[in-house]
Amino acid sequence: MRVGERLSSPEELFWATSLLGPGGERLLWDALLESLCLGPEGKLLARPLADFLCAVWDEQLEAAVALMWTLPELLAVPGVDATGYAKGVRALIRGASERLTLLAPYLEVEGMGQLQGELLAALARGLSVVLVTQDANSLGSWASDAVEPLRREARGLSGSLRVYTTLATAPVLLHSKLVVADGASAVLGSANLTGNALLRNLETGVVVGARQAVEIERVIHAAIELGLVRLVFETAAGEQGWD
Amino acid sequence: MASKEFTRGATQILFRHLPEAIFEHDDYGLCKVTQVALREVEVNKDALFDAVADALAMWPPAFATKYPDPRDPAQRGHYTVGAPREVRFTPYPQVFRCRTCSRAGQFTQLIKRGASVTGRCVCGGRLNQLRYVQAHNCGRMEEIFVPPQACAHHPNDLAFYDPGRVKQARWYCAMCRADLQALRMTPCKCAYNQSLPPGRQPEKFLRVVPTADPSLYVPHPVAFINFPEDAQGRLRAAPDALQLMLARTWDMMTDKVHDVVQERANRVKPEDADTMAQMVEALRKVDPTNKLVQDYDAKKKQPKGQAEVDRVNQLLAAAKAQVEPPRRWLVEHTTLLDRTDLSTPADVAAMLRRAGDEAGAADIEQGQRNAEELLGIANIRVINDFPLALCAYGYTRTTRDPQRTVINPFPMDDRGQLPIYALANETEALWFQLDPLRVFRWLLDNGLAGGSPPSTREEAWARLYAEVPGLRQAAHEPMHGQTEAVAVRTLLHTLSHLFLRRIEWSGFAPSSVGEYLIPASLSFILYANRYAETKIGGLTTLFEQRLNTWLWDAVQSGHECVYDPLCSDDGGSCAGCTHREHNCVSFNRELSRATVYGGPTPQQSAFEGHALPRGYWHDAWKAAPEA
Repeated sequence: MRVGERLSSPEELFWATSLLGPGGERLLWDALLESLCLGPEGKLLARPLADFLCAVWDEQLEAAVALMWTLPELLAVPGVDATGYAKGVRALIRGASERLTLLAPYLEVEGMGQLQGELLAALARGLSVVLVTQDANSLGSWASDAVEPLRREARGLSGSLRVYTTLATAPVLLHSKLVVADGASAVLGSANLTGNALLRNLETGVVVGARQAVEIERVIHAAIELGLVRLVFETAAGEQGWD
Repeated sequence: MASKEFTRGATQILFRHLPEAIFEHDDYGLCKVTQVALREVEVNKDALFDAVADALAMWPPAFATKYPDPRDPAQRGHYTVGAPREVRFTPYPQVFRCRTCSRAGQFTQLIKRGASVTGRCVCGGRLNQLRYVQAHNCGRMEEIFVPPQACAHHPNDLAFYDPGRVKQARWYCAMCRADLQALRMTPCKCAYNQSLPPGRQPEKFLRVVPTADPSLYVPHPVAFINFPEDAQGRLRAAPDALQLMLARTWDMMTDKVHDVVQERANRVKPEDADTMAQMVEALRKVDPTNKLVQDYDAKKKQPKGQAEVDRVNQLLAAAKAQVEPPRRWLVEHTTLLDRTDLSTPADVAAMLRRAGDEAGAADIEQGQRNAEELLGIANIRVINDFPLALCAYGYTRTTRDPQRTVINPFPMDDRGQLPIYALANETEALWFQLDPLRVFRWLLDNGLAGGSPPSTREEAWARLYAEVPGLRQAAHEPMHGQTEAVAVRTLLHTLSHLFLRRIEWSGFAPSSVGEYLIPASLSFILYANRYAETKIGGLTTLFEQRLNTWLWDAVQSGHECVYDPLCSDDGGSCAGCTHREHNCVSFNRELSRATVYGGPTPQQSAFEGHALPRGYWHDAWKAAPEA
């Protein structure tokens, strides 16, 4: 089976019986049809096939998805890192090389403080950081307070920080809690970017791969493009030259 | 309107003569400022807009809607910033009352009713401006409501009874004495009223206020440290910026970082390099041993500041420090070193010797030795031009309280921009920097740090950088609460307050001196909180003539508290010793005399229960002369 090759019937996939057992050729044929891997003339299409194989691969890895936790002080569980959630998010930010997208409805100084060092380092590396939250347009809000130290330290660094907020009149409630790095991996879970969520509550999150990360980025960018959130401010990238 | 000379100081304008303020003109009576023309002023726009954003954050969102977001660079074009140059005004209010017969009304109405344009009533009495207006918490201000006419029989004889109390003031007919009405309670439809609970409440109406009442116009100024504008962006983005700035802060480099960065940047400019290289290569062909050729080769091999960069890298690697992007504190420290006019005790001693004052020179040299050897202060400098600025961004009426007022920007100028009035001044300041070796040893002595003591200052700096990251982190970052960091911050802050306790030596009251802490460089700055263009010179004189006396006085008086032994048993920080009523940047948190003289640390501090066996001034206290 090669990309570009024409397939006209399940019988041409008879080799699959050795992998999938009797009737394997029919199973594979149906799966290929369902995943839109076959073009109008039965040609095997590269991109859908890649997606299909990735999906098959992910399914096999599903059991290996790592959980990250924030555990309350009273809940010590052997083998579970009580501050794993914050560490996981920090590690994700540290590993980013091009762009970062963070989305959380609630921000608070202690929570953002947990990530500030990594976010500044990312901005110093020239990353584009997008933060989507709510209530950041009010100067006295918790979200504004939380972002302010980062905004001030970000000035002059080569990366840019853009903060978006939901509108008070928007019909949607921003409720996801996501951090995406480079469209390659993402953390999604229950924790807002608050001190309680990253240090004291019971919160759970998982790290997902490229397929999901890309999808998350698409959704967030669509929300921005459709005007469901609006830009509060953007820090200019630092000047590189010296006149 | 008028062009007659009426001059006021810039600071006075900032507090009393900004748009929408009412003031009494020497010649024209009560007037309202309509516009204040601006002239250019050199202020750090980022610092200014940060200060404005901080100030606006005190108001509930619905009460600060008239301001474009000052955090957003794209919105800052809606503002114009400048120093007040010329105040324009108009007579206000224009409701007049006769001093003889009490006839009252709008000036134009009174003219129609037979009064003279020179301000004489029909009865011949003198017309005076009525000294009341009505104002609301939302910022609205109007002249008091004048009924359209008096009684039916004498429509032109409206008079005003002014007993000095709003409730008893009445409009009446000057002829038949018929009572017409009390002062009208004008309602307001504003964001402030919408925030109030339903029902009739006095706050929902405009309040009649005397024009001289200070609550009628409350300008809102905010102060900020006016570091040069271009420094931050350029320095931080420069290659090896962290190492160069650390080298400067750690006293390893005497060249200005700005100059070094610029020279390094020019060196790698391709066009310069090409031209220079061509010239050198041409010269090399003729004279390969020429000094210019050799210098060029050496420079290319080792750009300016490279030795320091390498040394800092070595120190950081040896201390296993994590290299991170330079933060603002480092830029600020570097900028103060590079861009301000500094005097050291050595400079002053030289100056005094030139003036023939050998005793004075010896005294300040002794002061420096004491500071270094006994007090653990590596550097004391005078900053002759510490950059301070003050800006007014709006006003409120009836009260200053953000929860009970709407903040109003000053009216837009002709170009549709909102003015912010700023004054940039240079004030005098004293800059202290502790000795990192002594600080590290103090941490070790008190069991707050581990390992062997560093042998040099450079090593101590690197160890502090590596082992006490909390010193350079902002509040709420993970290591900010690190015990060592809290201890060092507490030490610095306490020393700052102890010196302020005896700042009267300078002629300044403690409330007139501000403090600025840069914990990561073990520094604190005490500056004269003045926005006038002149300098009093009190801090400079203190430094030049009484440094030694002041230092010892601080050591001795810092040990005492009227509430001892209760205070010292409870951490050594209370209103009787270290607390300050004004100008404390952290609201009297992180203070303890125990850090300076030893003893129990305060409850609920990061190092609670950790009695400090050795204070930072342990030796100094023992060596201090009897008071």
